[in-house]
Amino acid sequence: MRVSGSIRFILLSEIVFPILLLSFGVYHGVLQVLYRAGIIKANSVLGIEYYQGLTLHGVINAIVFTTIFIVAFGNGVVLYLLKKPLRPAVQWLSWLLMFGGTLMASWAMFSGKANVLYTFYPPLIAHWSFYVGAVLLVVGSLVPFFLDWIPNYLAWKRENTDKKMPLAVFGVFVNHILWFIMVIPVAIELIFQLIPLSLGIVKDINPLLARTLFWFFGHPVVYFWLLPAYVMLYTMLPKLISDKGKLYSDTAARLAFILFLMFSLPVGLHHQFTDPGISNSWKLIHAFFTFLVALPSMITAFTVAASMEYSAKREGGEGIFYWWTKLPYLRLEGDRWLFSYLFAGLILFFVGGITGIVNASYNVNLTVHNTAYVPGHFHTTVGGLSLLAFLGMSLYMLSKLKGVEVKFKGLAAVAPYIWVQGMFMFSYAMMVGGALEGFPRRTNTGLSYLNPDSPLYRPEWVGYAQLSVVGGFLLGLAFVFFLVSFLATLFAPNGQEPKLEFPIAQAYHDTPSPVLNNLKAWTLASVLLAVLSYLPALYDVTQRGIFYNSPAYHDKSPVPITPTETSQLDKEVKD
Amino acid sequence: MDRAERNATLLALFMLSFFFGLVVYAAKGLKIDLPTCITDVQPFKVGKLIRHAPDRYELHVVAKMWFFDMNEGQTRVEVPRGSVVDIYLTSADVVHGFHINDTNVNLMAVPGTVNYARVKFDRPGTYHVVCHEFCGIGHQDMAAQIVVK
Amino acid sequence: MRAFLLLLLSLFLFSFANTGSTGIPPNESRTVGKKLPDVELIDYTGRLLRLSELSGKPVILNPIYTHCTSACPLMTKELKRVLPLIGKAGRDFYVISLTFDPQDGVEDLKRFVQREGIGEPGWFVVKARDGSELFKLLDAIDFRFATLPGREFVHPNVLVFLSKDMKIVKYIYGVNYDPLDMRLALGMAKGETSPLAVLRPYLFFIGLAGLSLTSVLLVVLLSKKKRIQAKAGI
Repeated sequence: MRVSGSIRFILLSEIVFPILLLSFGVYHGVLQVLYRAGIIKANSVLGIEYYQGLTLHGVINAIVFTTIFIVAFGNGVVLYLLKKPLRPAVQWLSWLLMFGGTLMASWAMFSGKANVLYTFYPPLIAHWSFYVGAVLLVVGSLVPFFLDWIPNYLAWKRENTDKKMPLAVFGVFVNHILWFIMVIPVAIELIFQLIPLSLGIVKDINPLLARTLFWFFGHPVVYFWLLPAYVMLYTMLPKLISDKGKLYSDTAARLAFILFLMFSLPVGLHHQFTDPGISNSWKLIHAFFTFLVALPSMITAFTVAASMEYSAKREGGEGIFYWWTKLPYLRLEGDRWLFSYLFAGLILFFVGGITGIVNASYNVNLTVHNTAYVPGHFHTTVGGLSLLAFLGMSLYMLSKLKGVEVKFKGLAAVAPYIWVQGMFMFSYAMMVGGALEGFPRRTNTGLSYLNPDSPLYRPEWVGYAQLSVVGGFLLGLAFVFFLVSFLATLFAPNGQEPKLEFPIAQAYHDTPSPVLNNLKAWTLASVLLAVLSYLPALYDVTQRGIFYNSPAYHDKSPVPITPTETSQLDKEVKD
Repeated sequence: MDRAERNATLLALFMLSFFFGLVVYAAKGLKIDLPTCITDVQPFKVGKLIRHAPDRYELHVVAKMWFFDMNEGQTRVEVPRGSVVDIYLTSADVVHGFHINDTNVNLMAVPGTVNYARVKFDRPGTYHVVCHEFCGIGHQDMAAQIVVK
Repeated sequence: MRAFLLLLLSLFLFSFANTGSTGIPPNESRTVGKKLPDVELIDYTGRLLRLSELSGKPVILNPIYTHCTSACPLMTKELKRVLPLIGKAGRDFYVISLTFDPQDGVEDLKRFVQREGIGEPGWFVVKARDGSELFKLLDAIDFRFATLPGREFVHPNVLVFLSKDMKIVKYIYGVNYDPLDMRLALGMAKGETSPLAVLRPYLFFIGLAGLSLTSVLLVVLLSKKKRIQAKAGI
């Protein structure tokens, strides 16, 4: 599929810009392990504070990079598989919204006006441009789905009434439907609570309601990051192993996507297990759904392993185990290098999935909540499979859009394995230190707990922090390897005709599945389930119990910045 | 779906329900439960350690930027070994965390509302408390101690 | 069949509707059916009394604190109104008003008795002999309270029904009591069982099964409809 003109520019910039931003994010990630281990004993380095860097690391890596890349990937997949041209006007609108929003939020973060971390829990409040930027980014990411992908699909369907939606498009659609549903509550939080509070229009808000609305979004969003990687595993991984490679089962893949659509949403309370004000019966129900949403990942584990076996056997692999040797672990011909990204991601996700069950397990969560265990876990999911798949696919799409071979292919292919090694060390240190010794997350421990001169010194955490430094160094190194290859490819002279294509594999088992393809009905069911599961929790945090609103605070001072004349609590005490 | 696939799915379902069954058993049978909604304990403004009986205490903690008020401004309290302590936690400003190492007490302090946990201190020693939710520039210094004698 | 499943689903949802209690409600699943420890109590005349002396008749236990000005006098008044409608204290059952304030003394109990005009035979107004006895009893009924400034307390407003052999049978919450509820609870304390009470501990699992079956059924129905449509070429 040829691409040219403004569409090519938009696709290219949607790949290059997030990667450049990601470099900042990774830089702050590496700095953080140094801060935490006490190698840097300071509040700030080069004018960027620890918590400012942590905000940049979280927001850029987890929100900006992922969202823009997923839009670029969706654009690419829809364009290639449906063979319908994208509309430049729509794409430009989306581009302006996403990039404008990102620049606004980046300004707030880089100028230190938004040290609120990725979760931006009120009543800590950031500059309004941070929130407005986030809203614009989200709106921009939805524009192509509604104005480009859906009309293109409907047009395609009219011409291909007998075919079902291509699996990759199906996955991309499910992902964006999920994205649309999950951003509604966080948009409510932003528009009705945080933006008015940051502008001083309202003086106080209910912080627990804000937390509940945030986590309605905050957990499903990890599936928003994960599903594009699953699309690659299902449709592209077999083809990378062998030209005759096939996906084991198309139905299982669709079933997994539908299960994600259903059960991703009623799970957010498992981030609030230790919150006050929410009845623990509802927490248990959300724990139950969290267990259910592990099911599609387990189905995926089977399907992907089966696809790998089938495809490796087409390359001459035999027996129960021998086919393992036929996988292209480190092969440089053609696009085979991409396999190492997906395979390394799979290894990490295996760890990430299992450790996620620990977080979901209701009372077991008490031992790990907000300790370093949590970042240890999610660096093997979003920092594992999602990130590696996105990096690999970015490089792949870049090379296709430039019409050149990937430069320094060896470096690019080795990078994910170094990443896996680094992440194993980092995550092991964080998870064990967190679960066994209570090593906290999100804390500049080098200043206090890991500073031998401080009265708060906790020697039992030193070893874990030091191991995480080694891991962090390897992670940084892997990213540099990738970046060298990426930049060299970017600045290479344009090659042949730029085109966009993906190695899409056919399915080995393929049965018609009209029920699974009825996306409209499943979307409705999913919304219903989400609303049902959240109504009691929302009732709890607004009506039951005692809730005083809280004025806004800046991260540098314990004095409220939107002081109310007398707080509700004072009034109550006077009565 | 072919047979291998169906079996794999069933196996996954079985494993998940087994784990979930254990979790419910731990919560309801072994009494390790999560904080729940408390409907009418007013948020308080001062920390206090109240002794009801030789081994029964009530600990009111106010988390503030950037210290824990455990007992009228102190960040260190002492209780005898074997004590059962009812911990009530609130926040005076932003969201804080409250984690007592080596126990199952892991709470969020959300302003305007009260959180609760009960803990029994069987082993003597110093129990470290850290704030584990980002609460501003002084977050890393926010710690307290419960000494069990 | 479908109606039945929907009923189970709604049971599942409503089994979590809280009973409108205040403070930290007792976790009934941990206490109902357990036997109370034989603690030593002191009544308002200063007489030592063992809880076991009251076995043989059902007991209604009402935790209060004596200088309470809101809920505890309300509960006591309501008991005075409702109890004659369901029987006679001392003949059909015993009533215990137990102060849970560890600092209450016999004098405080006396004042409470005079202020509320209670103390008929069979209605015991008592304190525990000391702190450890008190908390032994309170833990057994999972009663928790929070101290407020000025020695006020936030506590669940609750009546605990005990069977003849001092086992916990039933909790009734609030400050207003329906004679019918009280009679039912007393009946349970006397040993009459109701099927609902037997099922209650399993409600969560019944509901869970209901939810799963409902969703399976919905999926099956949905697919059937689709298949018929597909066959008909729609």
